[in-house]
Amino acid sequence: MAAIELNGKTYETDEEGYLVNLADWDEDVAAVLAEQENVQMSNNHWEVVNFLREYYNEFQIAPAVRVLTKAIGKKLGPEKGNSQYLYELFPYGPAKQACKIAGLPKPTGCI
Amino acid sequence: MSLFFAILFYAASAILVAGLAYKIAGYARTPAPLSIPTTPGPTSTAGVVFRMFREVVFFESLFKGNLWIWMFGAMFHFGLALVLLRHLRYFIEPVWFWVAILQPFGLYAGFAMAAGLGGLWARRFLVERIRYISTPSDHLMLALLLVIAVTGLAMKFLMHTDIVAVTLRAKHAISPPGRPNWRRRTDMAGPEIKAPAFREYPTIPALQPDAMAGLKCYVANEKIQEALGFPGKMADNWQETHDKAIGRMGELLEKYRSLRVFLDACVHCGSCTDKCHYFIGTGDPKNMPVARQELMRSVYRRYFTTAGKLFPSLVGARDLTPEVLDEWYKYYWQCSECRRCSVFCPYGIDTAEITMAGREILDAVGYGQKYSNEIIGKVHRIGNNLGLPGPALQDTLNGLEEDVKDDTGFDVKYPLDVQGAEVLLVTPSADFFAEPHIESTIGYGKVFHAAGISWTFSSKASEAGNFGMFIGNYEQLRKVALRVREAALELGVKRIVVGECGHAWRVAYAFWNTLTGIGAGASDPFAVELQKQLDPRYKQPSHICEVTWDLIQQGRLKFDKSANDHRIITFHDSCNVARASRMGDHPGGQFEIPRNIVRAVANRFHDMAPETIGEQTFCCGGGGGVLTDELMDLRVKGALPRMEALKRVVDDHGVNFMATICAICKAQFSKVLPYYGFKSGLVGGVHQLVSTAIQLGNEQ
Ligand code: SF4
Ligand code: SF4
Repeated sequence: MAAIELNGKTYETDEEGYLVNLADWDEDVAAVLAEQENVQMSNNHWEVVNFLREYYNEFQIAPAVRVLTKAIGKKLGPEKGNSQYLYELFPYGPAKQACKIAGLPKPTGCI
Repeated sequence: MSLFFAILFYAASAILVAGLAYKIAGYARTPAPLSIPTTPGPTSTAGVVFRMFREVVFFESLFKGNLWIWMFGAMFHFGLALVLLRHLRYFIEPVWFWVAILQPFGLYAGFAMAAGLGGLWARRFLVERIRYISTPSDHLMLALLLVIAVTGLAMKFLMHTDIVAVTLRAKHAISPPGRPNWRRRTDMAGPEIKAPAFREYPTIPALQPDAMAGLKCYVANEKIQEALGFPGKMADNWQETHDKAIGRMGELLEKYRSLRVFLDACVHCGSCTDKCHYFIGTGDPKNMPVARQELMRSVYRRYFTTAGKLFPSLVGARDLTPEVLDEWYKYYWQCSECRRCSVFCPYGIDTAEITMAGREILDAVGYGQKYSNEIIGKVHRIGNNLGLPGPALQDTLNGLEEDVKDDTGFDVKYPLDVQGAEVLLVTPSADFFAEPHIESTIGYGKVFHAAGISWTFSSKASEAGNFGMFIGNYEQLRKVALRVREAALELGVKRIVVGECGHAWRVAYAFWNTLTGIGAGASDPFAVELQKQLDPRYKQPSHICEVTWDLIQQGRLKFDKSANDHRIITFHDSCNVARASRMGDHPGGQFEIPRNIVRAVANRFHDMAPETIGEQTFCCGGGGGVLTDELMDLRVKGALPRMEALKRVVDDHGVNFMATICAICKAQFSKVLPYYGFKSGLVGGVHQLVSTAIQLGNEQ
């Protein structure tokens, strides 16, 4: 298994670079994960990441794309509440790329 | 000398007949727990007989598949038939009237037979794809037949022989020993095909050996494997893995008649070689359907047939080695189990069944695929492929109700776990989660609302998909399917309806009856209870498209078709709906009903080229358990034929919406469309179109 070494701490990751243990996550490792994904984290990126984590804590799953866009629209303004904006933030898809940075497991299925 | 030949011929005939009888007895003994339909699924016994007749007499599938093989094959077979009839004159006295009439034709038939065989044999040398799949025994067989034909002709025309003196010999001369299925031998022919009527897109690629040999999806870890009751990993000792794999193969051969027949029946004709979208897209010869089968057939022959045990290199048999097992893993995970190849095979051989068996054996030795097995684990643990727990579903559905209210002003409900609802709607979990899937979900709710039918989703049966089929594992298939039965019993529903999901509809339509008793078939107490509970006036299960189309025909739904005028629509037939199930009450309903709905809710519709839709539809490139990111290379390349067909209608008719009724198709196209220069939003659901146009009523 792969891992990220950071500040003397080891973060275990799977084949695709997702954290294996949700609880390992902190902002430092998020920054490293974002760098691996070539994502420059802005405040708005963090808003998305934080929302994903909150939602996950409540529901044990990442939010549906629609739920996410709606929530982001509420937080950052209606003109940003669409998947196009989310793809601007996370070009490889909000569900997959943003989840990785947020330390959530990758949502898989027929999506 | 004559005596020697006589004995030889009798012995050869005896071997042939005994071998054939042995095989048939084996097939008869082996159960067929799941029905494996052949396209286009006839609905009556007479239909089945007629379908078989066309296949056996006219080689219909071969005709669709490859004109050259068909022509040479037909020349040979009809020639042979006539020659046989002509030779009857040696055995009957007086010679029957019609046999006498045949005599002059029979003479020419001898030439036709030889020419046909020559053409078939030439293809084994001239066509790269056929050369690749030919084994020495294929050549030997053609050589024998050709020698028979040519010596026969020579006896007639060069040195006339007194046949009556050696009748015994002539009688059996057409029976090559050993291969019980020799009769319909139809091999590839002549120069490379440019048969325009069959291939509007001349995309038969040159072979690129091992082009995809480097692509391998992630292997499941121990946790994932063990959750399904599979060995966590492969044994360290190869012999142990080897024995387990061969052992499992033997068990599967005892369990599935289809597998036995498919492994035996192939004659390497090559009709299927250019029919797989993955071969078309990659050029990797191991992605030719017959070559994919051959990965397993070679091992089957070595361990389970006399010829393969005695003369392995003659019949292309080989030992199971770690390299072979790796090859299985790679190439059985480069098949989407779409069954397109089976449409063109004169024997209806379904590569998907062999792929499933391959995956099942791999799982049995601890070599599972991460993507599929992880997902099946989530279904057992949480209830659906995505792993959406009940509260998350509820939250999402609440959000949908708000959105639809905002959009339309109507209180359309998206109920979850409602006791006593009339309809249980089982849909892929992607329909709750992803775009554009969720737009169809909105559409389902609007249909039930407008028709005034009470309905519910279930958190227990929150997944229509059944990846148990993808991995070819009967127990997993059944376990996943049983969730639907449990939910239906708990909720007391009267009808079970399946949402837009291709393979789910195959499982529901073809397997649920025997697996769970949804539909007739199973006879355990729960199945019987469920059959009593369900309303017999409706088809159980029904597809959502059948429900919507029935309502439209009854005049219970109203549409403003102009609401879809910004869309110019085409329809992509999903493999499992098209080739492994039906809709409505006559063959081909699965093609008509979704299109009827689209035409009822929208004004602008154009089909793609006929050889790319209907039963010949091309897979989206992501079905059957390959919808995972690490296989993106394969997925993009495999989408090529569909993309070419789409491009046509985009260029010619300005199509900007490709409707489909499968969650995997939607997800796959959303991802690969941009690679071909299309917008990812070009794909959507049929009920998305319904949703746009439906009139919800007058109350505000
Ligand atoms: S992907 Fe489809 S066409 Fe290709 S081998 Fe598999 S079942 Fe046949
Ligand atoms: S699978 Fe069918 S079509 Fe393909 S080579 Fe074998 S017999 Fe011919």
